[in-house]
Amino acid sequence: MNPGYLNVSRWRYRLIEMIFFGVALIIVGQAFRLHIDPVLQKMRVDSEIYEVEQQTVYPPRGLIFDRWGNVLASNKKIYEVGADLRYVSDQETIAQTLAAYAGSNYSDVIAALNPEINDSGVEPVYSVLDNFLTEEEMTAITAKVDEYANMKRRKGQITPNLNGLYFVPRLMRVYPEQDLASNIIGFVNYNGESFFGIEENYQDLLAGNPLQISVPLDPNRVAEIPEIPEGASLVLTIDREIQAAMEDVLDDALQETGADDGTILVTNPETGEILAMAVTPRMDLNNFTEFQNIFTENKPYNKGASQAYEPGSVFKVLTMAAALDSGAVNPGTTFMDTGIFEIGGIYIRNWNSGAWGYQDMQGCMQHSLNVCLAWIASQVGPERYYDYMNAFGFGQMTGLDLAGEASGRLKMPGDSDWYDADLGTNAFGQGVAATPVQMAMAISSVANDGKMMAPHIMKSVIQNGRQYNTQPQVVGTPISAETARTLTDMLAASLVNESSDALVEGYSVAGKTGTAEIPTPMGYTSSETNASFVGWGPVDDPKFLVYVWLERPETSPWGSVVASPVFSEAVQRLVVLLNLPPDNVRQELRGQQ
Amino acid sequence: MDQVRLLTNSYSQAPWRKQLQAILGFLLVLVMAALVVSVYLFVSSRAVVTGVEIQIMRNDMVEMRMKIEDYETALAYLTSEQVMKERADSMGFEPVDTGSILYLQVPGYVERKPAVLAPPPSPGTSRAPTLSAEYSESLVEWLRENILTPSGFLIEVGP
Repeated sequence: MNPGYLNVSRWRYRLIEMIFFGVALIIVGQAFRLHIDPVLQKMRVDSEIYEVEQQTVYPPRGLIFDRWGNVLASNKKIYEVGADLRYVSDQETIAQTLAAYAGSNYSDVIAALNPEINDSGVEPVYSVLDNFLTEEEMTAITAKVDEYANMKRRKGQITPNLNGLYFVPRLMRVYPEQDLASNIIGFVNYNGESFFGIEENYQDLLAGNPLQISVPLDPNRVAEIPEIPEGASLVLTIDREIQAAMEDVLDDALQETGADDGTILVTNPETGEILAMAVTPRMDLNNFTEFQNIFTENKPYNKGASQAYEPGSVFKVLTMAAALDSGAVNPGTTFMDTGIFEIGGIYIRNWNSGAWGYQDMQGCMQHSLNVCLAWIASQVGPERYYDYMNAFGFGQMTGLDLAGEASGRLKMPGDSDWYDADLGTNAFGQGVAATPVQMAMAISSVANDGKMMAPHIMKSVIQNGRQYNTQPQVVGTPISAETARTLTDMLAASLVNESSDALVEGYSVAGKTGTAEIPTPMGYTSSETNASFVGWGPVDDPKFLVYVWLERPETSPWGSVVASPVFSEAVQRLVVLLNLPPDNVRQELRGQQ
Repeated sequence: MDQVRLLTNSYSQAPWRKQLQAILGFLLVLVMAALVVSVYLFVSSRAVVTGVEIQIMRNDMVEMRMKIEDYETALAYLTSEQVMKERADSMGFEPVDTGSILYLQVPGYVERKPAVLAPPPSPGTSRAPTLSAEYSESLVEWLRENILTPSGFLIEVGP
């Protein structure tokens, strides 16, 4: 081989080597430069936001059940329809289709497809066209999208199309029972904000905790999405069937008496559980936009818990309880009713302005004598009397787990607006304001051997797959068991002696009527009254306490005439739904055990 | 001098052998590199496919949860108080009144209990991560964990 040729080849090889080495050096150098270049570093950092998608995950809102597991509030899948404006080419067809298949407003859709450029000058790329499409509406529109997409077209020909439409599924709150127990449940609006009742009171529990998560778009970087616990579900103490029955009874009562509004509250005095709270007005929770039209003039959403009123003679139960318990009187104590009693500079008269002569304590309750009860309160004395009323919980919220509970008002000695005369008027339920829930809680102590139970509506909470039950809570023991039984027997006998309309055949019940004139800026109006009745039974082992309140009845102002029959009707329906046999059957069955 | 060259030539390998060795060496490196690359590609592609499947399943899960909510709601509407009452009426049932009920003592009768929709709380319930480490760790991490660490070979056997 020619040595000169070898030398030339070697030289060429060296050159190629150097070129390769040079190129490699340039590549390494460039890589190093890219690595340390601050502009490129910033670009790299900026680009990281495109590697992940920030998502806010809203856990499904917890369901609400009645005590037997019937659904009172649940969620339904709906669709938001939006448009990616970069791909929209036929606005008219989109607007026409949405108007035809989803009932959307044509002009609104066109306006949404032509959004204004915002202040920062960024042109929007996505616009929401409609919010609440059902599955059927979405399917119909999707079929239309496919139909247009599959249409044959010539080159360059523009055919109708629905390009750019997007459907985003989400959940919306719905109420299968519509207006049943609407005043207890409350509602959630389209933005997920809760109002009133259970929905508002347990918002945090029901809604759960929304979580902001970063989802990598690179499938190589799949990351574990944290388990997002669903909103807790609630089981209420409410019995759907009892609630429906009480609402029926109340609606009938309002129709018959011409009362403006009413409340029927059913509780279990042994536990404080609220079994039903029928209140007017009600509304279909699925049409919550009607709220403004239904609850006019600042009408409370749930009068049973949020409206304090002067209860009238039903309050005498508590005055008598305080008197018996303190020893100021006993059932045999007699009082000479002259028809008038002076206290604190005012004269107390009876409901019929009559004098009833000698009366024992049962007679005072049976005839609902204001004069006698004012005298009894004076025997107890203001200090002890108001201690008892405090112990019964007046002037304080009961802690009921519904949003918007009112505390009522109990003037106390020492308050600037308390006068000696208040002791006399408070004794028969005038000059004191309480909600039906407060009244029911206080009187439950008489029905439950002196123990006053905390009223509550949540029975259990289901969270992370576990059910946690609430326990009945004793708020206090304002009176002794003996006082409670004595008073119950007195009130049961009173109803029998009076042949009250509140009586229920086969069942022994104790109770008291109440008729309260409504205070106005010009004083009390005898033409407009609040008619009430509170009763419980069976007397030997109370399983229910029913509180009835009718506002401004027209057929008669008297609680004994309008509210007592409502109580009776309510109890007749109630005992069937509670599977509560008549007294004789119950005692017979008890004897067989 | 010639003898030295002769001796060197006798014991040195033929040029074609040297070339062959160089080529084989190069090929060996190439095959090894190809092997590593192919293993890496295989594992990466599987990870990507699995990642996409997980994303799809995640979406399916969300969709199914919504469907379940939808079905529950539909069922709730079908069994709502009003609907049940209408159905009972249409079937000829009437509301019973207190006087027409006959109460009997039934031995062993268990009173209706309020809804139990979930098990009661129990102590020590913990939530383990649901995504296996294999889906998120890199090949290097896997090698370090399972091959280079002696304990990686050992698998705990249950009693």
